[in-house]
Amino acid sequence: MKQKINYFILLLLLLSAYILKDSIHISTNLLSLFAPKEALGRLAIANELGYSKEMFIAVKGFTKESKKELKSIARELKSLDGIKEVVYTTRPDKSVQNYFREYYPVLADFDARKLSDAEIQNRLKELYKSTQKSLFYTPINRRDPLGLFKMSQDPLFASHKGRYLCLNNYGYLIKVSTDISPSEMSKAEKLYKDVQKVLLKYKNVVAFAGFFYTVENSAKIKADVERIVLLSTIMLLIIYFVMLRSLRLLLHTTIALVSSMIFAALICTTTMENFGVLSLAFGTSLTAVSIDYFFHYYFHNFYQSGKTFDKSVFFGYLTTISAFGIFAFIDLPMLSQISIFALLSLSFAYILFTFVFPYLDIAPYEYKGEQRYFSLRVPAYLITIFSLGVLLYSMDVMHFNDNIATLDYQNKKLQKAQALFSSAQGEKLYPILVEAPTTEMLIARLHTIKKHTKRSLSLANFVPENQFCKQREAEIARYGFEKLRERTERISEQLGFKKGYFNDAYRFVQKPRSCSDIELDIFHKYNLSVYRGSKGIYTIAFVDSLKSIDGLSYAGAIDAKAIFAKVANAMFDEVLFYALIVICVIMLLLFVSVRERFFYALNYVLFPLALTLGVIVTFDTLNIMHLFALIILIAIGIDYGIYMSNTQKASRTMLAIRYSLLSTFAAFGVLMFSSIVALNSIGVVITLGCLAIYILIKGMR
Amino acid sequence: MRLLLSFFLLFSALYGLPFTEIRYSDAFNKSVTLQGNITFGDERVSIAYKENNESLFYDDGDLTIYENGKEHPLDAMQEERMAAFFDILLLLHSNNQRLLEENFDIKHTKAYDILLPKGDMQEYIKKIEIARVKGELSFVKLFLKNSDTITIKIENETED
Repeated sequence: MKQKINYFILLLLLLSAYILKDSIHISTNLLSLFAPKEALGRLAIANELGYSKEMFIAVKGFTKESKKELKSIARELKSLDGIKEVVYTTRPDKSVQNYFREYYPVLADFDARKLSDAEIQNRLKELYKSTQKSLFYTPINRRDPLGLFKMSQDPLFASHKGRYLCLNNYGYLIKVSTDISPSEMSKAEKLYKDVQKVLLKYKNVVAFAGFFYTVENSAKIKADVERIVLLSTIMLLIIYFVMLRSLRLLLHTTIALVSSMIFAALICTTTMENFGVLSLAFGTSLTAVSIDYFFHYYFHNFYQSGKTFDKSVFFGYLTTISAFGIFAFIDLPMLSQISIFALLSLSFAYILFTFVFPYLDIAPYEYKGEQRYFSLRVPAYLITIFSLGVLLYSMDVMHFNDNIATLDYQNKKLQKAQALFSSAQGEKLYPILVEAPTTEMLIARLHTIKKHTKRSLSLANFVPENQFCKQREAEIARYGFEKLRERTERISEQLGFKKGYFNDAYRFVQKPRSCSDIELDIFHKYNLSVYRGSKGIYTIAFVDSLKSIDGLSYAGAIDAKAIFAKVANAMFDEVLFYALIVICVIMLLLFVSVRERFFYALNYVLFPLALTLGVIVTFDTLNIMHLFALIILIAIGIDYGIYMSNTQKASRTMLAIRYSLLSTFAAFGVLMFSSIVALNSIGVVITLGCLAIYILIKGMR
Repeated sequence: MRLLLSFFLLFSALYGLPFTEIRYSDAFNKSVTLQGNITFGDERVSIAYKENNESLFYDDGDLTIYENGKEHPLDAMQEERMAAFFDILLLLHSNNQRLLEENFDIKHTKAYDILLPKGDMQEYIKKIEIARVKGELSFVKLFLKNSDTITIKIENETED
């Protein structure tokens, strides 16, 4: 019965997974893994406000045919599920037109200079001329015949031809608001397919939306990951089979690893919000590291020894989980998620390999032959000095790549389309999230931002500040429109206008509407809306420079690239800080566990770190995934350092490490064949690290 | 595009249908009469006036005005207003019943069809009277909200 315990554990876990299947949440949003919580909060609100839910479609050329296509595409898109609004003209919608009409006295520029009778006469004569001589029919503005109010609007659409929106000189443009945020995979996939079906009928059409990346890249990433996982699994199975030469043992080992992965995955995905798919993939691979506990036990015949505890394996495990335990507190979702996953899966694997495997009746390993060292073996202190030198060199030449986009799958086609649509803005405008406790303060803050920037687009382009409204009301009250109307009536009659024609002139200024009544939700056509959250009111503004909002506590960037670039250095410092704590703890634990062979064991951390970092900073730029992989490398290195330092049977330990290295390469190293930069970076680090550790076991004394 | 436009305007001046436009201004209780040639195309219309060397070219949203061969700049308000006017004219000329019924309530009388606008158009147009001769548009009268009227009489070739 006890021999079957491994199977029962797996069954129990699978049953739990089935029961909990509805509580499992996995996020595919890459950014949510990197951005700090505060930026994530901003992004969640921006999502509510419709940010990154826009789609752009350009029809090449300005021919009759392209205009027809434009209208036809717009018509078809309007009927699709998930599409909220389709805009291809500059014409404001009815609610905005009404707004301009109702608030005209406040929104228009007002010439408050008092007019003489002669000036009134001249202006009315001009009116007469325009109606009688103009090439086209010109109606008389009976509300404001003297033209005291003039609407001067900021250009809201960067480029248009007549009333049609344009993408510079490329062609006509359609702006589409959708319900789809880039993280909603199934909805995104459906709309993507529907849109592609519509566009297939038209030639010379380019389309772009943030969620296109989700759909296209996910498919590419999935295919790439499937290829890598298959390669990795085949390699692992071959390696384990060749090493263990027992199908039964291979099965038990695989079950133990799978159980550990399921255990950690279940806890992480049911209890943690936004647990990322990348953390899951990464954590799952990381579980394979625990195979070295098994190898060490197996090659040292621990299961037949009757012992219940092996000091080396325990210290290896303790040091590794201490490192991950510290990293779990880092304010970087991906790193903390991976660390928690590793903590859980490695602990579960340690328990299985240590306390369950002795009951499985594992046959003893028959050791044949001795492991050979290199002919030239270098003293440990020299390797320590060399490693520290390389680390210092690396710190000096290190350049950190803060562009998160370079980590993703490089979808050249979409990147080209995105660049095409970005160029339509002329000077790039960056989206920012602005918050305030009240609507009045929100508008005031948007006006402050408008004053601080050369170019911006926000509700401040449409809505005046309350203070301005009050000033305008006072100005209008002082002006004396009653008298002006009487004079206009009198003079117009003298000029031949019909009696009483201007009887209603300037009555529209009598009761200007209060600015606090302005409905802010009507400007969604310009991607401007408000979200009322529990902590205040939020809106998105677009500014030409993010520096202009530096120091404004109520405004923050929501552009993924900008967020990452801004936090990258702080994040890098934080990772370094935590890495230093981890190294200190490792040194302490190493000292406790290996004592006099301290530097020898420490080299298993320092040398792989130095070699890998040295190669990367010399030939590439360091990215966040390199950093994560270096942390894994530390975790692997510690175990081997402790095993090699404490070993009584060096040859067996070397053999165990060699096989562990092979399995680590099969689990992680194969990632270097991935076309996704994030995965490739991990693969490169782990492969170089494995090579460095191999050099150490063979060539250090 | 420019070449096409010039060609279309020249074609309009030489071969367009002669028309008379009467603009009645309620402000002065006075009318102005203009004469010229009008040419309808696929979603485009061009007008060349006789009295002065002025022409209008409207192509599906884009309005260009020429005075003495030079392009005359238009402000956005003027362009918007004129574009709406030409859109109506093109719609009336097309005789597309589906679109006409979408935009107007139509009453047929012996002399005219009376079109009562629906939607946004109601804000500036009270009603439109139109007449056709052998299916071709021959008479349009727009009654505007400000009590002005614009009457266009087109002399179709098909007219006897």
